[in-house]
Amino acid sequence: MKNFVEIIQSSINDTLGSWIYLLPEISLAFIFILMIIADLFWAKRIKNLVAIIAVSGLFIVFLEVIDQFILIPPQGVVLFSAMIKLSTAAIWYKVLITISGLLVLLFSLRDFQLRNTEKGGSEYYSLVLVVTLGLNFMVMAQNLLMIYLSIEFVSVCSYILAAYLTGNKRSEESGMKYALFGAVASAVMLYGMSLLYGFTGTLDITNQAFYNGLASINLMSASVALLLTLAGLFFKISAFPMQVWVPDVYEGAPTPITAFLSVAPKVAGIALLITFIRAVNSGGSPSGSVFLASTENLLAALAIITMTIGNFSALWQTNVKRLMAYSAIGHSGFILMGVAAYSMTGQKAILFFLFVYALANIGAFLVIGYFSNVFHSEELEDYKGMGMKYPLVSVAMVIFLVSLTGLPPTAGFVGKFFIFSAAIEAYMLGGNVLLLIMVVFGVVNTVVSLFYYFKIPLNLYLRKAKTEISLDKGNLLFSVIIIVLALFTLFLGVFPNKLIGLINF
Amino acid sequence: MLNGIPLEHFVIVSAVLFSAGLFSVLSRKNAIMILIGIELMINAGILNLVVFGAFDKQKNEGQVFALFAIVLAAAGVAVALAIILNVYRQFKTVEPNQVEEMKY
Repeated sequence: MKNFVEIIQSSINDTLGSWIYLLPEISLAFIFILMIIADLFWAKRIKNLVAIIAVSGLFIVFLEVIDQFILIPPQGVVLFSAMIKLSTAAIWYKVLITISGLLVLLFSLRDFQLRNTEKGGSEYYSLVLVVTLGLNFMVMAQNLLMIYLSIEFVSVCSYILAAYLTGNKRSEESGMKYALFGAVASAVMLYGMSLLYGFTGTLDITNQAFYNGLASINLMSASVALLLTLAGLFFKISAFPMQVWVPDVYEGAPTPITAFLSVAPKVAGIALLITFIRAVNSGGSPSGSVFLASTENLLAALAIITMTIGNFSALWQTNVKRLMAYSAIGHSGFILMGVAAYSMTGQKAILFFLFVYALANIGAFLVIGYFSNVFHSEELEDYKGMGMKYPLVSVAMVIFLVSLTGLPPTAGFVGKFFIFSAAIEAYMLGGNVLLLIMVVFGVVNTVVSLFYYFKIPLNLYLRKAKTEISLDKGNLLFSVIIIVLALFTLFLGVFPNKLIGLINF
Repeated sequence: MLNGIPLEHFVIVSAVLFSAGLFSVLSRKNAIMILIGIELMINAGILNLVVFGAFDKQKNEGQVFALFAIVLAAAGVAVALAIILNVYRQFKTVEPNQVEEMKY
């Protein structure tokens, strides 16, 4: 009994000491409640009140996340009895998630479809904040319970967001498909986690008992449990066996949400995947791990299949959003290359790649949203001749696409270069031939991606417009954000060291 | 041994439940039936957690996880049902095969 009292006391002390490190998440929760109350009482009197609270609140959270760099020691802190771990890498992922959340909120402010739903926008903004909250927990999670909770947290809110446009057939369809696929993926993951718990007797994946338990049992049973658990993560990052939902959901969902889903959950999923792979490889020290070779082979194979499927299916798409969805699958493959070649340079390369991918992808979706606000279409046919009518935005679109392809002088080139060199380095160190094959496939896929990305500039500039109707001017807020993002993409392409120098952990 | 029943029996029951759920997800045409299949799969996971948790006397992590999983399953199904209801209003059907507004 005395022993028990001591445990309770120490865990209470641990919990009380942990709160200070959770400031951004607590603020997000408070802002969420504030938004609901504001929507109830004052929304009629002050126009756009909820949106204003959301944007300013998320900006404050962004500052708080930045502040955490100073707050934590270099090796990171373990919080809430090893439920979550706040490390410098996790803060970088949180920065990226918060930035994309902010951009998406600004994007949603002026989106035509969202402004014209019968429901109004207030729920929408609060849900975006809640997804951000879940994603923040996802990048820090260290415990199977926390992993499951945060993934479900993000998924359930994303289903609602995807199906937000009631009365729009496509949005409803995408919501249903997302919800069904997502629920199956999370059920499979729960079963895998229960098996892992049975094999190891602990939910804490960084615990040595977790690795020892897995290593001591039959490799076959261990891999079944691990694969079932990984299925849920692969769903979040849209990697090969779980990528079928992506095209339909991305095409049907409101464009800001597509931009958000293609970036933020992928970032958090990759962060979680790295935590998980590291735990399976015995807490970061790869020497003597039973699973090192098999995880490396699995991830390399999945990277090859994912990018090949994504890039080749994108070739004959006529809807721009669907094309970008397949390109997002292809990019998941590229990021998985970095995870397969996971070493300390590997994580840096992944982080930089995710940054440039987020900038270019959100930018490209912003342009799609801009055009769809002007002529209410996302078909490639209707983009004909628009390059001359909207010169600034079209030039920015070309910059984003060049960056997504990975050509100099944009940031995408540097990102891809880092990923490739990390893979080559891992091949040099470990001598796994599959990694070399993966790099070859990566180069081939980059060439393939050129063909479909350049269909968009081709239509924008070289084809004649079908009609000569004068269209209304685009939105000023959109143009400003688009141009800023394009400038950032160019800047990081010319001076990548400005960001690489900051990422040191 | 839990109350005289060997551990294997529980694990076999949950494996059967999981497979039945997966079969229902893959073979049924109706979205509601797919949801029922998902529910079976989640329950298989929860059963496993509770059984394995019985051996974890000090921290009881399995039981805690099971409680969270039950709540989250309910939340997920509620959202999915609401979306399916909306789909029914638009398409007058709840069969995912016939809900095909977007073509390849």
